[in-house]
Amino acid sequence: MTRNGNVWLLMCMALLVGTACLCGCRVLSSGTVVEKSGSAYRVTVNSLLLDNHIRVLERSTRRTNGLLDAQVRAKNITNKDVQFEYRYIWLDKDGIKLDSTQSVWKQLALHAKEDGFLKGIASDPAAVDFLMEVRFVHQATRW
Amino acid sequence: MNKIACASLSLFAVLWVCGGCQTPPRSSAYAPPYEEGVATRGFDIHDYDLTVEKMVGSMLSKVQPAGGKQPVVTFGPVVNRTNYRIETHMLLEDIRVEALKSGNVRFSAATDYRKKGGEAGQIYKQLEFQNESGHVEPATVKQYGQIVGADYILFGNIYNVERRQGGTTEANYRAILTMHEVATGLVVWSDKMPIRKYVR
Repeated sequence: MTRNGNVWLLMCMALLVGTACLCGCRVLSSGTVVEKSGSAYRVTVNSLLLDNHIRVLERSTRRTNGLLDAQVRAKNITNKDVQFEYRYIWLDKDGIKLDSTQSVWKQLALHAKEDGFLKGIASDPAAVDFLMEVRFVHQATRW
Repeated sequence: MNKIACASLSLFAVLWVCGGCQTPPRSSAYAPPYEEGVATRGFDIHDYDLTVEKMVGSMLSKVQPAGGKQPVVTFGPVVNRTNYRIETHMLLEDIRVEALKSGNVRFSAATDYRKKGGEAGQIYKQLEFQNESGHVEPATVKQYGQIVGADYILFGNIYNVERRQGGTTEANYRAILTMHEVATGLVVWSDKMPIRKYVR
């Protein structure tokens, strides 16, 4: 390859990296989503970075005073501390999202290899199911 | 020349990346209200939301209908003991909005007949108007003595502690709510919401 060719290649790569990073940083709320698949729950991965850090182990639900009380157990599978955020999206029996201000992002920090419990309780008794969204705390790492 | 062009473009790309990661955006824009928004040393909107979510979930898991009757809750004072402005009424109203969705509790605003303003004052003024003005059709007049007595009163305090190290401030808040049973004076529920933020 000629010298000019190398320079053009470098320039194109710089632009590509810049554009990709710019797009990544502009995303506000992408993250791993835990959703129902048949009778089981699976993680719909929207973030390769996050999926390499956290593994969802199990989910539990129960009714408390008629309200859906949910808990997801997750594990930090890395050797480093991870700070992330999660929130519940409550769904009614038809799978329609319930309009609630309760779906706020909550922070959780997990040490290396530590298990964490992500808890939530729906304020609306119509909630029978949920989605859970997970993302990193820092916006620059939400891809 | 080519080297200069290459270096300039690389620098441009780096600046572009850094610009893209700025929060909040430089230009005016709307943002989803469920996002955290800007973190300051004060009690931010996200802090209200976190507090409401935690408190409502905790309260509703303890306070429940008894004998098919939903308990009636009224608000006592929630005192802002921080050195920042906190809209305690907004916090309580948010709690009421969320808790009412459950259908497990009811709220009463008619707490003090001597109040001249606010929800309580307006209720008593309306009763007085209906019963004593002579302007209201008798069949539709709501009689005195039908205000439902509250079963519980909700009190609270919000505290803060700040620490600084270098250019970073550690802002700590603690919101504590307590529910008392009117008939017995006993505390039937209490919980706290700790919040810690690092602000540069």
